[in-house]
Amino acid sequence: MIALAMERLLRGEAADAPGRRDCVVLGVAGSALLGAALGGSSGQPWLGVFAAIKVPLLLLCSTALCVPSFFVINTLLGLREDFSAACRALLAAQATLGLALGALAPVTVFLTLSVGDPYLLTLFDAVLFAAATWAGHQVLSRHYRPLLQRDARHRYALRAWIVLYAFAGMQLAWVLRPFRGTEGLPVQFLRPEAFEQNAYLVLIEHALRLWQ
Amino acid sequence: MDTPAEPKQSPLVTLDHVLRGTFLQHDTLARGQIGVPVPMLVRLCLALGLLYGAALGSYAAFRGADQAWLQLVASGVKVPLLFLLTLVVTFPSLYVFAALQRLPLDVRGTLRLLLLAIVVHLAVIASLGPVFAFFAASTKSYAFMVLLNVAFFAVGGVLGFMVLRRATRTMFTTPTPATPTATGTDAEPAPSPSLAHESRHARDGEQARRVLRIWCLVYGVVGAQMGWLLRPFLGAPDLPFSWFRAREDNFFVGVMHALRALFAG
Repeated sequence: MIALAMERLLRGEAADAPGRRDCVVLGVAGSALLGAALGGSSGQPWLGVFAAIKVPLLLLCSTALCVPSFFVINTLLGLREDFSAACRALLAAQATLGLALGALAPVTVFLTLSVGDPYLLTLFDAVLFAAATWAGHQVLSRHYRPLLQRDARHRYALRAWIVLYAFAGMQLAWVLRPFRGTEGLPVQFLRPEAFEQNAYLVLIEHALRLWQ
Repeated sequence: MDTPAEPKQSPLVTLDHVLRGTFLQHDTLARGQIGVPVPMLVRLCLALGLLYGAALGSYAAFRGADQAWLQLVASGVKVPLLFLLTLVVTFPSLYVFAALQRLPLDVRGTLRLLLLAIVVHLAVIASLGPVFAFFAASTKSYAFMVLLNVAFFAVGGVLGFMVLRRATRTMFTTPTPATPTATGTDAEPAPSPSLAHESRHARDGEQARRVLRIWCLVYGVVGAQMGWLLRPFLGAPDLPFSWFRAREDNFFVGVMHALRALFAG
């Protein structure tokens, strides 16, 4: 049954999308699998358990943070009648993102075991997340196609969602570190400075350091 | 212009109608009517402002600032106050400029329209409240939070502005005239209806744009400075709690300081 839901999610159009429960199960299971692979492949089973909880949490909490604004923007654009269809599209996209992450779990394990450089591994993680995000976006576009045909203003709501989701998601991912083990650091659910640093400021600092 | 008796609606239903633009229909706006009572709009402003204010004040609570709970209360009170005081200061001039441009709204109608835009602005920033509170919980940098607040206010302002633009366009849009049927051979050649219609459209559009430009300039500058006067909204963790800060510099200098602090460390 799950295999059928997976097929419908990956191949189908908006009308064939699996039910809400199937989407949640697929998204959570896939992202948990990647979390387990990220954390577990560094040889620390507890980190695998923590990351298997944190990756689905990252997807769920980012969505929960952004849905109120998405609702207001849809209403302001006069798209309230389509809001439930838009939410179904988001759910399908999140499920695909989770599923793609899960599918990339073996690649993650392989890379962890074969690449020694932690910076290179971080870069690979970013590439894998970007690939999974692209997969999610494909399904999102497919589900949004009938909505866009009905009303072109859906484009603005979709853009607003992507910007806000990425903005909040990046900071949440930073807060929820570590996803993979770092030599010399203890296994923790969250880093002690989790709620102190800001991902964007860290990026700016790194960029300025490169510049100087 | 008297408005007909308005059916009583719950605040949530009214908010829903405001966001959907139900009150900005051509037939009612052209008659200078916006069917939502001022007290209801003010109540919505207070409630939504309180929500976003609480999100702002949460920074002090998460950072363990001096008397954080008091900052939470102060921010919750000051956000709606910021909007309402700005409206009090700017409303007379906004009304005069709008009337000069022949906006078909009387004093009460203009007030309702401006309150509608404020409710939309507040609804947008209140909906961004969870995102702000999350960043407040996970960010130490005061300058980042100040700029995030400015960015959220700007996003809300742009969407509020869209409501005003839609309303003024609706008010100044004249219905398409019917095509003349009688054409005499000896009559003066009448100007092409489509050309006449286009020129009227262009004139109406220019009027609407002028009203908006003046409104945004007056409201934006006063609002930014009012926000500066009513600060702190966040409560810097290294400063003792105070309801207001000393009157120094201005909003734009404050933003420049925050940007410098962010990039220069």
